[in-house]
Amino acid sequence: MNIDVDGASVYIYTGGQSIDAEKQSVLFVHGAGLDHTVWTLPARYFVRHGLNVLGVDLPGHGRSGGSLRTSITAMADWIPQVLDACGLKETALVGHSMGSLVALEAAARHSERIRSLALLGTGVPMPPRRIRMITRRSIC
Amino acid sequence: MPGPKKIGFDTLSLHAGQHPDPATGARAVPIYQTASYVFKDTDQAAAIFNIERTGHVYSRITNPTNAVLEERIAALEGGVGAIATASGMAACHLAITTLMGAGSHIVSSASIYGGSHNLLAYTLPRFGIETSFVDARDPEAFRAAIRPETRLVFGETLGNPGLEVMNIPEIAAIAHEAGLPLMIDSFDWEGSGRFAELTEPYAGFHDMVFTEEFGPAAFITRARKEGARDFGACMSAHTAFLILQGMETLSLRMQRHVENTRKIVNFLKDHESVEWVSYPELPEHPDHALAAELYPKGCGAVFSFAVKGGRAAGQAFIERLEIFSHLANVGDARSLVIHPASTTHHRMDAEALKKAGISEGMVRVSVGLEEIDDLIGDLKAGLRSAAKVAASAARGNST
Repeated sequence: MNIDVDGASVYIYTGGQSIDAEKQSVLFVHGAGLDHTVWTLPARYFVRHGLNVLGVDLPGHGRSGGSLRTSITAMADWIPQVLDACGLKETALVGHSMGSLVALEAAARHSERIRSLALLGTGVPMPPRRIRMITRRSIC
Repeated sequence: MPGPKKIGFDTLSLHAGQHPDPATGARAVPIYQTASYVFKDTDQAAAIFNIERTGHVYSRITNPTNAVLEERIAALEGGVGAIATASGMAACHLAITTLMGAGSHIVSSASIYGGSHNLLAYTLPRFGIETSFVDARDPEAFRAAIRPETRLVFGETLGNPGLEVMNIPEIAAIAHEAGLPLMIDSFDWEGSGRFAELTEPYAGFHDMVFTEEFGPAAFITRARKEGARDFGACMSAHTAFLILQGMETLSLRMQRHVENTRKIVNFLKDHESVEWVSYPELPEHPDHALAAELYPKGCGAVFSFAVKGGRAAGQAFIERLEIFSHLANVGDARSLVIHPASTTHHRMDAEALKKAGISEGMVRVSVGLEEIDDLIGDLKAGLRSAAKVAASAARGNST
């Protein structure tokens, strides 16, 4: 589905379900240069088990419009905006690669909105130059 | 930043898609001759059916032996996936119907295989799918034939039997400009990735929208989950194994096929009993420059030529041959010939044959892997017989 966040269209893969504020949610953050399709299989698992799934395309990625956020912090601050737009108080957060840093940062900065955290393919510290390179290429 | 290390075509022909069998260590690809696969538990079964994990359910849809072949083809073609089907026409039907519904329209090259032509011209219209046929050599004709309901542009690399070379890059650009995929029979050519028919929810799988869930793999996923499952024209695992065996030596064989073909074309083009030879590598072929650009390794092992003396001389030539087999297909390890005017196109009168680019003395050749001297010796004998028939016909005409 497409929602409006900060004046830009954002694509969220929900596994074919509509978001139900009564259900628990899990939000997936993809890595640099990728999009929601990396989460298709696990997303379908959680939908089958009765959760809301939000496979977001980060701004400037995949099917989302908007300008690319240029720091992990800026991307982390975008997460609660997505939750607001979907009418959700809190969510479990899953991040892959650069998305795992976004998830970690979001959990630190907005702990009241993040119920739990799962990090995949995480390296700390991530090489920031490499991230910038991949991210820049993804919007070309 | 350096790109990923590329593995060469010949290495992929032997290794892509396979590791030694984890259960037994078998180095060759095992033949999994089974219809179905036991689930570990009910949750795993549900997960596979829900497409949240991969796994084999039924060999009509996936099979471990076929999976090696499919992954190897995808690797060789630089594609995201492949499906092995029971025949070429099953592949053609599956690929086309994955993108089509009643009311949709196809723009196709007119120079395509007879079976494909029959599917597009006669069978699919019964299901509300119409096709416009255009000249393979005229990219603008493709553009002009595109309508609002067009969903696909279709063609072949090399026409049959005229060997028209389709200008795939130019026609691909025209298709992509209109937001349409270009489908090529023979081998895949950079698809546009824009499959309009796949962006609507498909009821068969929980309102799945294939482009959203599978990105670039949307087309192949829908073809498997819908068409392979519903139409069922699957390849047997044993056949997949045989094709894998053949692929191991594909490059070696193609080199020999092309090498033999070039020698035979050179022999025939200067022969006194030969009227003309048509092979895209010859400078006088109308698509010579394009063929050199698109097929730098060679234009394959199929060509056509005409024996002087018309239909009777063509028949005499074919009947005299001992090594070349007279039959209707191409691409065998053995050398093959056919005389279109007396066989595949025998219902056409002289005028219709001319329009289709087939002369009465025309012979289509598919060159095999035999010793070149034996092949040329066989052709010499055939041409001698043809010359005798032509000479006696000429004497008959003069009296």
